[in-house]
Amino acid sequence: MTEPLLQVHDLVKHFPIRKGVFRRVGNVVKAVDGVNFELSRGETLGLVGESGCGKTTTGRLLMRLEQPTSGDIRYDGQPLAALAGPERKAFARHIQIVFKDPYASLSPRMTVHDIVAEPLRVQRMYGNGGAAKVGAVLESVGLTPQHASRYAHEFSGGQRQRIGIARALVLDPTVLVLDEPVSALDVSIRAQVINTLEQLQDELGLAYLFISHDLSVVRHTCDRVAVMYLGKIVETGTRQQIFSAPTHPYTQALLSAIPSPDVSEDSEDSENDAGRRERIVLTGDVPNPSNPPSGCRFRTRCWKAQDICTTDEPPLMVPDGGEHPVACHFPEAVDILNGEAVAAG
Amino acid sequence: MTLLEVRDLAVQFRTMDGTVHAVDGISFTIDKGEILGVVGESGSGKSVSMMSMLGLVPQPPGRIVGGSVLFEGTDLVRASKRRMRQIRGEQIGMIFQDPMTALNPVMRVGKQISEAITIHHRRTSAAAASARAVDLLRLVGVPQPEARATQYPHQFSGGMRQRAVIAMAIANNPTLLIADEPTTALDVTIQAQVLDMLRRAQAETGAATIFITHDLGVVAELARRVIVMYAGRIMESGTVRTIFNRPRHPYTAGLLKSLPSLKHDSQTLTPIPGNPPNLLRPIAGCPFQPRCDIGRDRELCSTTRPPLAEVAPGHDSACHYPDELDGGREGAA
Repeated sequence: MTEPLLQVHDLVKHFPIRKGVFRRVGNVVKAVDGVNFELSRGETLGLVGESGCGKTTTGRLLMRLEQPTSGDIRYDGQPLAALAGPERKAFARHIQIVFKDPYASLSPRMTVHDIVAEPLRVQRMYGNGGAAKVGAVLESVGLTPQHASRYAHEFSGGQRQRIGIARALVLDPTVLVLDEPVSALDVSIRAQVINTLEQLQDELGLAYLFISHDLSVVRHTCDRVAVMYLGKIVETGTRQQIFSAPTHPYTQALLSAIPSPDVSEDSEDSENDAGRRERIVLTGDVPNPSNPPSGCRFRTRCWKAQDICTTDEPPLMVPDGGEHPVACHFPEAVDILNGEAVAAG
Repeated sequence: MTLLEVRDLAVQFRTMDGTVHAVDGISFTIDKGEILGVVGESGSGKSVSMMSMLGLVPQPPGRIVGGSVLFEGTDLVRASKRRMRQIRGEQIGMIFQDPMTALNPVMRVGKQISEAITIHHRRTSAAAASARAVDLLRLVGVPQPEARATQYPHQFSGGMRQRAVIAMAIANNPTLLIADEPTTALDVTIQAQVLDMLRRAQAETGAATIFITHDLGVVAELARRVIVMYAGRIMESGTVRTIFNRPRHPYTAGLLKSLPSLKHDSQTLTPIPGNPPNLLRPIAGCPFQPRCDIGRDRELCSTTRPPLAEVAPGHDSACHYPDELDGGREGAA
């Protein structure tokens, strides 16, 4: 194994909530609270979790769209925090982002050519064959050079997302942060864009940080997966480990909660039951991230919670007999998707 | 027993660019107590068709240009506004996608639910209605319903709001519930709670339910029978089991093949090429023909509209060549 391209160590982002006339800091939202991961060249890491778990903020921190409260991000061994001025600007070429909403992330006043060319102009690289580069990138994402003179509103959602991908690729980055790149798209279009992303990765050796709440898409696209809950990674492992041996109760609940179109034909006789699996239905909502529960953050919704979960925060580590890191006091791998039942209580 | 019978319903919208043929002649029925799933992608006409049945499509720009909707002996298309107001909320309950816009932000949640009752039952006392509101909140799984009833919607989380909306929808024991993407705005673990609860509320009230969604997984979980819509038409209908395992329309088959599986590691996805058609132009043949491997080069498919015809008992497909399919997900699984 070569040195990972990107190393994230103990990344923290707190957003202060300011109150009153004097804008005093009342409380802080702990959006990202001590996140560690690595990303290698050509690899896809899936960052999954529900709204408010900090996955998008993590992506924005990598892009330096937000300044981290503390922690360390290294690209190719070089700490990003040390970069300033022209160095920082030059660095921006290496990590680029594709946003979730292809309707909000493209300027309605710019032609597709200008949208895709803008990063080149910002980097003062447009003069040197920029127009040809834009044409080539558009082609690589499945658009034609004729599209370049049109405006974003003339395109469908899937095509717009391709424009967003072209804009991210035009600087020849090595890492792409994909923030829910297909969640706004219809099913039949989603598969087209996923295939394009995979093809680009093969051709260009890109590393993807794939942020998503859709676990079936993650299973399809990612080599490794990190599951986040309330600003922390609760479980991380290879695709195989996460989907076949989910060990954290939250991962198990998440996998179990997903409605699956895989309808079995075996139970043809039981008419009103479409071969459904037993599911874990979590009680309650995700707690407020400005005031997360003590100890393990998942304990308020966990069926395994004991006294120790209230007092001690479980570290993210490989449990005895396990193969991948989990942050749980009572880790137990269960093959949820193949119908293995969880010993509740 | 048939509760609702829709025949050749067609809805158009006049826009500056021309007339949009949003719903292009759909027919289906729903039995008492049945859960029917309606799936389709954006712009397939699934929401508009249901809204038009309820008289909720703004006219203009919308216009119901044909068809009938028979509900317990009343044609909803021709019913007076007054009659429709009686039916909506009383015999037909509605649940919308975004619970925040469905609730009044400056009115206490309990009050909103009891209003849904008193508006149809003038003689119900305020006290009885609020007591019923609390009972309903308890039924849909809102903890501490007495306290919650006195709160405002912004004090509720997304999942709780949707529960309140469901409580309102079932307040008058409707015979038909129409749920339009009720869990799309929710996170998966909350979605699982709400689906669970919807299933229980449905069993409790015995209301027939039309469940509109773009999520094939949700349909598979909840409905027994499903209608697949595309470009304002019904492409295929049948039981969830047959449609998902042995689709007989190339669009349905294509949708299933473009879905990544949660249970298995999949290789490459097979997307449906191209984009949905522009509904500004009337479509003479099959709307899926330009994207279809079977029909792309066939004249019949581009000139003649395929009727929704039975291919097996209880299984209809609007395809000229339903026998040429190699069978949905079996290859992928």
